[in-house]
Amino acid sequence: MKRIKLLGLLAMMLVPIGVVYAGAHSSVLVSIQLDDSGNVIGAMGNEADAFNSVDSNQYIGCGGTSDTGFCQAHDATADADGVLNSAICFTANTELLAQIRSVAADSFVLFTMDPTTGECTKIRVSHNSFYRPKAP
Amino acid sequence: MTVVRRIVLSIALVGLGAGGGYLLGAMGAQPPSARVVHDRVERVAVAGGDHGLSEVALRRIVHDELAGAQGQGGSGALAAAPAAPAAPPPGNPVAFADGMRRIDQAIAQRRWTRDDAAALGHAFDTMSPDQRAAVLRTLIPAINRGEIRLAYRGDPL
Repeated sequence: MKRIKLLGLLAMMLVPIGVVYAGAHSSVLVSIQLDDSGNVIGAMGNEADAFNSVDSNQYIGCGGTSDTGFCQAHDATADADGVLNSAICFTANTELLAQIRSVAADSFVLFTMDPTTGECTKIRVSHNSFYRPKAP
Repeated sequence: MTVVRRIVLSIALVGLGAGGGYLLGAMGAQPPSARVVHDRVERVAVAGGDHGLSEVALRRIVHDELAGAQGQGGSGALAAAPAAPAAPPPGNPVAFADGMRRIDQAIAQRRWTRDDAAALGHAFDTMSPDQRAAVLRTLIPAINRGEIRLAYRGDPL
C-alpha cells in the first residue's frame, strides 16, 4: 500500500514535465536569400536554432553601436570560393536600430538589404513560444 | 504792398521749413551721413559708367547693398533665406583613408580579420556619419559578394 502511494506521488511529479514539453515547436535554420541575378539580398533564421544546429557554420543576429547597427547571418554550408553563404547589412536608420535592439538570444530574425550598398531595408524580429531556447 | 507780401511769404517759408524739420525730427529721421552721401555719389558714378571706380569702392557698394537688403528684410534670396543649419562635421580624413585602405587590403587578401574589425571600429569613432556610411557601402557589399570572407565568428565591426 505504501509502495502504491509512492508510485502515485512519483507519477504526479512527472506529469508537469510532460506538460512543459507540450506545445507548438518551430525550428528555423539560417537561410540566405538571393535575387534572380544571384545577389545576396537577405537572410532569415532563429538564433537558438542556429546555435543548436549540428554544423559549426550557422549563425544569425544583429548588433552595433548607438548610431550604426548591423545584422549578419551565415548558413550551414562551409565557406568556399563562389559560395554565397553569408549576408550582412548595416543601418543608421533609427527605426531599424530599434528593431536591432529588440533582438534577444532566441529571436527569429529576418533582414533584407540593398545589394548595391549593403544597407538594411527591413529587419523583422519575432519572439514566440514556439521558438526553442538555446541548449546549454 | 509788394514788400509786405514778400515778408509774409518769407515768414511762411521759414515756418514751413521749421515745421517740416520738427516733423522729421519727431519721426526719428536721421540726416544723411557723409558716408551715405559719398556712396550715393559713387552709385551715380557707376550708373554713369564711370569705369575709373576703384575696386575698394565697388566692394563697399556691393557690401552696403547686401547689408541693406538683409536689414530691410527684402525679397532677395539672401534676405529671405533662413539661417543655414550647421554643416555636418567633415569627419576625420585620415581615419577615413585608413579605413578605405584596410578594406582594399581585405579585398586583396580576400579575408576580414578580428584585427581589421577592431581597427575599423576604432576609426569609426572619429569618422563622420557620411564617412562611416561610405566605408560600409564598400565593405559590406564586398562581403556579400564573397569577395571578402570573415576569418572568424564574431561581429564584423
